[in-house]
Amino acid sequence: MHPTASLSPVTASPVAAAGDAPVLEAQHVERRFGAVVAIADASVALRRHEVLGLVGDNGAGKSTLLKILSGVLQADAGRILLEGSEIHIRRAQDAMEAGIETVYQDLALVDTMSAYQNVYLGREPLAKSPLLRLFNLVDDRAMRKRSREVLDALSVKIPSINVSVKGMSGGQRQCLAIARAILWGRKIVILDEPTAALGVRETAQVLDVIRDLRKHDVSVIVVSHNMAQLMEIADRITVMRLGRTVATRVVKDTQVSEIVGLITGAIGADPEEETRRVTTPA
Amino acid sequence: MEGQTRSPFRSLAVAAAATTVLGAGYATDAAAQDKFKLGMAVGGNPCCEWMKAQGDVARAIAEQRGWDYIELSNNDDAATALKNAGIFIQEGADAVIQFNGQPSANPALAQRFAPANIPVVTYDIAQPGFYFVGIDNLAAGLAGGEALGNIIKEKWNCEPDLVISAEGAAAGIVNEWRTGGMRDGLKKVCPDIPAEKWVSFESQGQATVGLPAARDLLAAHPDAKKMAVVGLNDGGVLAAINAAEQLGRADEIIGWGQDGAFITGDNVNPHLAGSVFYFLEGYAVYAIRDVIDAIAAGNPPPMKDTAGDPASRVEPCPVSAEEAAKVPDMPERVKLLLEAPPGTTAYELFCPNK
Amino acid sequence: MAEHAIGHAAPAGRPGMRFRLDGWGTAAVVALAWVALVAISAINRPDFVSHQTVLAITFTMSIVGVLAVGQALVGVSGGFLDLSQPTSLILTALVASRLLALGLDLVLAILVTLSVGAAWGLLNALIIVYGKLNPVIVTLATNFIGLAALFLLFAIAEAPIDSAFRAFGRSSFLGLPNIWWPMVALVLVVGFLLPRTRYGRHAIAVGGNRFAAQARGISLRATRFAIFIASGVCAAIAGLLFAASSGPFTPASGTVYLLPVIAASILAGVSLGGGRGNIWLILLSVGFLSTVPTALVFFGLTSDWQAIFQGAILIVAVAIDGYREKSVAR
Repeated sequence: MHPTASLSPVTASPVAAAGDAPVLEAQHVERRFGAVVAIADASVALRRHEVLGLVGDNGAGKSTLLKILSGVLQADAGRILLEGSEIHIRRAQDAMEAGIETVYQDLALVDTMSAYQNVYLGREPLAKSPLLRLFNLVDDRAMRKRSREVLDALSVKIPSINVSVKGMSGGQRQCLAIARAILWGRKIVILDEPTAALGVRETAQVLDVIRDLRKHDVSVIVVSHNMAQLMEIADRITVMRLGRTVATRVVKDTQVSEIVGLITGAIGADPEEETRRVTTPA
Repeated sequence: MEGQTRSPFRSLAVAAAATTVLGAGYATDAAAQDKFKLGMAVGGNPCCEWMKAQGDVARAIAEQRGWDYIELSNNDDAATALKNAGIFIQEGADAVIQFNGQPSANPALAQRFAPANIPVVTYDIAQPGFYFVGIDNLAAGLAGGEALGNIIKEKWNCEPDLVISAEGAAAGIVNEWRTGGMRDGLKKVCPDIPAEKWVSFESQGQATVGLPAARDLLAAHPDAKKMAVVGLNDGGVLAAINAAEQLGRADEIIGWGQDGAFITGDNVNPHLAGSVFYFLEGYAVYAIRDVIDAIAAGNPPPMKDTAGDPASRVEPCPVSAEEAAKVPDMPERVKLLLEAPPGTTAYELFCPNK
Repeated sequence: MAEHAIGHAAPAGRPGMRFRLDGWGTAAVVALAWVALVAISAINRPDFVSHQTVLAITFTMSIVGVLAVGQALVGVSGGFLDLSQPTSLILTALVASRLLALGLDLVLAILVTLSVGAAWGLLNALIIVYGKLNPVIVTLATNFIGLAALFLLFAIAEAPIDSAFRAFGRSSFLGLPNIWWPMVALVLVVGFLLPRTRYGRHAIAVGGNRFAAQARGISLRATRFAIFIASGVCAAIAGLLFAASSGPFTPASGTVYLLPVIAASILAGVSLGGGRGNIWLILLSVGFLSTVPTALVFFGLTSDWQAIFQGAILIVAVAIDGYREKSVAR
């Protein structure tokens, strides 16, 4: 199970041409918790090599949708499509195997382990010698080498890949968790509030890494409250309100005020066909 | 634990069933009231099979006499012992025998039994107002010490490099009597062993628990070769012997124990030269012959409640390892004891050194 | 090889010069204390430095060391403590003694004993995993129940005194006890494998942050099973060494080991919170802890003092662990 990510930047244009099948798509997803409807009807489409922002007020259903996409929760109704074909995500492992990596800020890393150990956690390559493999010994040298390469390629700066991550800053930890997705060959990365509780400099570092992800053949969904930030890094933004996806906007054709209006309900939801046109391209 | 308390209740149930089967209620009730009722509280420490055997022998003798018999287990616990006293009073026992491993509870027990006018026999641990039946621990210590002294005199001309005491402080005065008694007995034979040759360690009366402390003690006396060991019991003495074996210094170590726990069977340590048998399983013979029988006959004997002047004295029986090999094991001894004429003691039957 | 000690040093990027008591920091403190203890004892009584002292200490180390390996594995993987070791130790020692008394082949007896230890660990793990219960409470309970069951099973047991097994247990090799060498081998092997194998690294991860580990597809269940079975096997190895080297034992004979074993595990830098610990340092912590009682005897102090010192050392060890945890919290 060696990570298979290619480090060479993908030559395709950053934003895929319209008409490409979305790499990941959720169609009319519903989820209830007893009598509480967390998601009434959510549809979202992530295009190849784009950064998609997912916004909404507290309780709009973004966290639930995110958990459904990462396998932590399951949808009561609706479909999830990967590269145009339906998949069933019943647990976190299924999502990872489908190439979907979700980065939670607090749950990502084991504090007592080093950076490279964290990056490879759960998927450590075994030593090459058959004798050492027999004893289940891992190949630390290879892990260090590859970790360094990936971190360098993403311009992630950490003190050392050999020391425990507990002393590292929030930004460094966030970058490590993202780098891990690349190393493991993930095509889709979901980030939950990646810059919450980070300082200015650290935030910039994390945003740089997110922007660079598309160069590594990765498509990204970012859940965030920070509108200015999203306008800076996202290609499109999907807005959720009261358990529904109400609109999707291309960032360069919109403004913060419009997004905020959609979030608060000051601006009405798009007509149904508009949503369908965006989520299921002909 | 439950298994131990269940048996007395089962015997009560059986007794109750028996009275119903006999039919004519009033008559049997009266008969049951007339019957002498003996209570027995066994020690209930699962460590030692003799505690259970003490109850078996008492039960057999009570049955021979045609008495009612109630057996409870103290579960090696003071609170249980107190609770048991209440049950004996409630059941209307005419006399009670107890082995109580928690001497601190004895005064409280006495306070319960006294108002109920129930005479109590206590084994080995004295309590004012309780008939004392038991081993003369000091005599047992002295006898063991003398026996070891004779070996040392013969082998080493009374010049050991070290005399090691395996203490068991938790046993309190019993430790003083046995371990101290052994030292005194040894001094009787070899009076000139200098004071600095006498050393002690805390064995807690257990071979494995005392082992590290014994090793440390031996390490602190690296030049001692001829070593004599006395102690509270066989287990404690074995701790010192095993330590010497581990440190490669067992060639000239000789121990003499107390209680005979490890002097019989297939696993006798070659360095354990002897021990002192108390035949603990047979105490009921003494208690019933010298105290309970008289109470049952309506003539309670005069109160003798000290170890120095006991109501009945159990004779200690020092034995060498060789002699011990010829003594039957405990189940066999219980069997032979119950087959012997009433009043015959285990000492009379089995002690090779009377 | 420094990077294999999990969480060993302040990151280079942080100038905080606070002394850190984890990993090698603790090791240095324990090593220093040990050297000081030996030096003071030797000044007090020059004959402290003798082969007899070394033998006394190394015999004491052997069983404590093996048990500490099991305890450390449980600690590192976030299981906190295995309080059932006193029972598993005696249970396996009883099995070995009885089988050998029955005349069973030594190799077979050893294999059966190890299996019994593994089965004991499996039992603990089954209750912990399927009952979704705290390992500390579970092992406290199984120890309690096991001890009661042992009392029903036997009063006193001992491996046949004239067997090769017992002869092995009292003898020495290269001037050190036979039973000491398996302990050292176990510490070295487990200490080598834990941070270098996939299984080991997953166990450490579960201890360090089980949510993160689970998110990476590492099974908490499988880890709990593996670790508690390993702890049971360690107890069985200790039980074999115990039965070989000790005289007659009772069901309660294992109780005295719990305190020094836990102290040894913590002093070796194993975090009670999990995720951290270098098994190799057990040699150091057990060595130090086993020297204390011997040194006290050379100072002429009685065993009452030994109990006081042992308790005090445990408190210091726990305090160090608490300090470590606090210094981690940012």
